[in-house]
Amino acid sequence: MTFTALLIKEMRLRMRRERTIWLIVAYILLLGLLGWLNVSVSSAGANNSGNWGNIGLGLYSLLLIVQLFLILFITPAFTSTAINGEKERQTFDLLLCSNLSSTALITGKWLAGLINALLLIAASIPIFSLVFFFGGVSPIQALEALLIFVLTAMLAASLGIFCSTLVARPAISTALSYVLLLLWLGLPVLLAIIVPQSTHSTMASPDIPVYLNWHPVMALLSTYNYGGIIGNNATMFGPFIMPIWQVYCIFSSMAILFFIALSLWLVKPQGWNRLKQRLHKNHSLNEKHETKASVTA
Amino acid sequence: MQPMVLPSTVTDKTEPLIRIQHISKSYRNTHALRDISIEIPRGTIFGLIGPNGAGKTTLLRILAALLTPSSGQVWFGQQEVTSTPAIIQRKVGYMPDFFGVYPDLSSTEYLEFYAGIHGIPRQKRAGIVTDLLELVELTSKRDAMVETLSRGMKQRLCLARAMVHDPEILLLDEPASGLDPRARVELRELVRTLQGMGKTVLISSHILLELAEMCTDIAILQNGELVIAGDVEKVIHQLGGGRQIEIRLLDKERVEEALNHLKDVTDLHNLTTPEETLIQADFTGDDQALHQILATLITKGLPIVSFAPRSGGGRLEEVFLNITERNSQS
Repeated sequence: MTFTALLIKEMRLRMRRERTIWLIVAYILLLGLLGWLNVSVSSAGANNSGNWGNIGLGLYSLLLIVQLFLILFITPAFTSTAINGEKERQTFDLLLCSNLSSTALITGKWLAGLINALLLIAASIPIFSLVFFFGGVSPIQALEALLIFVLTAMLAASLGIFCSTLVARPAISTALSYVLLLLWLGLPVLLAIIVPQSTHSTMASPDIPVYLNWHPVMALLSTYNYGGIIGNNATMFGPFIMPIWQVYCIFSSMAILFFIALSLWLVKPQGWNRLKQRLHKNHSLNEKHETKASVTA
Repeated sequence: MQPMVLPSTVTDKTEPLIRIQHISKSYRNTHALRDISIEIPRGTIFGLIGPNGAGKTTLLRILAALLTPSSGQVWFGQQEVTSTPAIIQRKVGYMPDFFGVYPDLSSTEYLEFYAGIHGIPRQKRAGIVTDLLELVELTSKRDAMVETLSRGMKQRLCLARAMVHDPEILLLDEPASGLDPRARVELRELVRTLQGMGKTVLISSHILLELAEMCTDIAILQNGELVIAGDVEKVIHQLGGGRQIEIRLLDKERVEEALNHLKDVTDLHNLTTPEETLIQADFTGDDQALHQILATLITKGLPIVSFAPRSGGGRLEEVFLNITERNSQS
């Protein structure tokens, strides 16, 4: 009950801001424009060769990657000031005075930001449907991509919430969430470039290095194996062999739970202090334990 | 320093609603509150007075369960509540010294949101919000965006917000600061109405006069310590402020005669005649003594136009400044 009240208020505030509408308009325009350019350029060639399926696949790849980066970089903005913004507006105390639990507060704020991101994804579906004019992509593949988008949005939203509970100043928490995102996206790619390929895989089976398994671009490409970049598009995950996008989904779900759990802990009054105290207690307990052990020894 | 705690007139009848026992709060090296013990009777308007940084807000935030005291306990009736914020949240409505409003919500939506997060069922919310808007006289602004309201209106809206869950106790932190005189009078009337509804109201201010005219009990804080607490008249009396009385006579010929009578009264000091027909004096006695003075003057047949004991004025502030200064030096 308290949760829905918070969600309704959040959605009201968001939807009344003009920038929400303009963002959706700009988002659709950008995707549409890029898609149109891609089709108009490649259809000139296709008229000669007659391979319309390739145009569909090319358009689909372009839209996927563009949408992925838009989602990745827009979603944190929806949530990265959710908690410390309330503190700065001096309304946080009032929330604490109410029956609102920290779980309801975090999940309500998270869901409100996520709904905003999902709205963008939903608005882009008509543009994606253009791909089906040309063919080349199965509905199951499109659904897998959609799942990855939703999970990525959830992950980015939970990262934003986490930063907003960690840092007091909204500007810094926003910057922090983008830095973390860039590290997550960029480090594996950097590693892949620096570490010589030959040490990891033989020429016969171009396996993807482990650190690229949890990467949204790889996950997206693995849903339809575009251009055979990813070999057999499956990877070893412990004893299992599964497509990269499934590995990505598992890791992302864990990361989402991790960030939400940390935020839940941090949002409670003096979360930091209690965390320190607990660590200190554990530490001193361990020390006691050790001294006891040494005495008996 | 041992704080003076005077018996309250209301405490004599009922047991206190809130008992603050030996509350201390320190942040690293600074002591925000030191061993504060106050009893707040049910149904009082209790004023917390002190200069900035005296610990008023800290004390209110402890009572609102937003801070945990370093030591000491808070009791609501027979219940120790320092460790059970849930009880405090149900019984206390807290209005901080800032507005804390969301820009894009109307007054009604604003109150409905807070009613919602206080766990009030959806079907009851509309009724409660309508009643509250009526109580704080904002019915005409029910659909106005919160940011368009004037300062006084925002203050009343925040007071309504603090009451969405019908708390027994209201904590108002500096509610009158920044309000114009008219808004201040409206606020005072509102607080009196709340008292009439059976609420116990705690108000903080750094202006003694502001509270003296609406509170039944007051406590003065200074550097985190309790200087004095109790019934407002008694506190003022104890502080040596006393009251000032003004006696206006019909004709100036009889003023001399009246002064002669008044000279012999032990509770009256500093007799002055600022105007030809007006006598002013400082009065340190109780109401009984005051009544005696008036009775005497009447039986002597003096033509009295007005006989007005008035609390404070600028003088009360002077007393307050004196006592806080004295304490900061000691």
